[in-house]
Amino acid sequence: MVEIIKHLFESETFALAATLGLFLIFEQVYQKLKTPLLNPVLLTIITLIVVLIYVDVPYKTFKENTHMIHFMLGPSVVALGVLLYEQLHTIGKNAIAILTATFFGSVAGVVSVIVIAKLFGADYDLIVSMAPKSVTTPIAMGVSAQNGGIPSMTAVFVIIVGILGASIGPLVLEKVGIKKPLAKGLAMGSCAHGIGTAAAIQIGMVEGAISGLSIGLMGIFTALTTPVLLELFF
Amino acid sequence: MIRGFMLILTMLSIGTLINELTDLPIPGNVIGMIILFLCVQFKIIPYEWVKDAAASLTKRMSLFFIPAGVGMMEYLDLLQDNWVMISVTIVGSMFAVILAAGWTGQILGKKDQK
Repeated sequence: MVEIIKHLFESETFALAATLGLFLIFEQVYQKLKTPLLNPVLLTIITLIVVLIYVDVPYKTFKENTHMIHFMLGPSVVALGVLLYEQLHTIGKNAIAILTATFFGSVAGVVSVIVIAKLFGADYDLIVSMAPKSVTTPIAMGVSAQNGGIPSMTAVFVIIVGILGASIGPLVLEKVGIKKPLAKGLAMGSCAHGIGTAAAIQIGMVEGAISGLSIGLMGIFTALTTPVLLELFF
Repeated sequence: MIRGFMLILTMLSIGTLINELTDLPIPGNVIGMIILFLCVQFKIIPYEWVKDAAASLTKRMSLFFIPAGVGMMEYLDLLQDNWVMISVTIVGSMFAVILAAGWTGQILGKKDQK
């Protein structure tokens, strides 16, 4: 049995089918239960890792076989530009508030990672891998790779932050007295990207729209500021 | 749709080229995203041309980073050795972002936004 699964995972067609199939199954589970804890991407990644290790297929093989899916990352980031255009109409009179908040959010995200991780004496590549963790995964991976991080680790950190932010973000906002829908949307999108936006939509329409807009802006600001901030601290 | 994909891939190529030719430490795909945004915003590319292709690419975007995420299996030892540092850093930084973005929005946000 293990041999059969191993053989299957060594083929491109099965590796692709398994990835898509697992994602669809976990997406169904998520749709039913609607809890950020059951994030379909994270569950698919964990399942694939467990299976690949169990049947002893190296990552290199899997990576080559699923390259077709991985390739779509680049174009999908570029396509976010169109989404940004669509969401820009939701800005209204708050352009300055939105731009300032996402800018501060991106700087706070990167600086806090550098400061805390440095206190622990963490290695440079790990720090860079964590720095863009509040940005949507494909952009975060690009920022990580560009500055000497490990994109695979970044991908996982981003998803974990997204899940945490979506789960406890609304509670934190309530505790510290952040009440304006605009501010809530900014906080959710800036800290927990797409996963946070899904949670923000459940709070309200304004929160959701602003959160969606924050994803793109956070991505741009983090890509621009990370190299500068790393330079400053190292 | 094909026109949209062609344009998106062209922007990605331009972005990648700019990243390679200059010392700009910004990923090529982000540069491509900014160029595409500017082109649509300033009506150089009609929104209708890229709308459908962009929607199909971004709707299920999370699927595309699964192969990269599985790459974590090569770093399980690193993760195991550093999990306390990683957990504290990530959670601490998450609070920093929520407070920075949230408070700025709360202070600067106009009242008329419902």
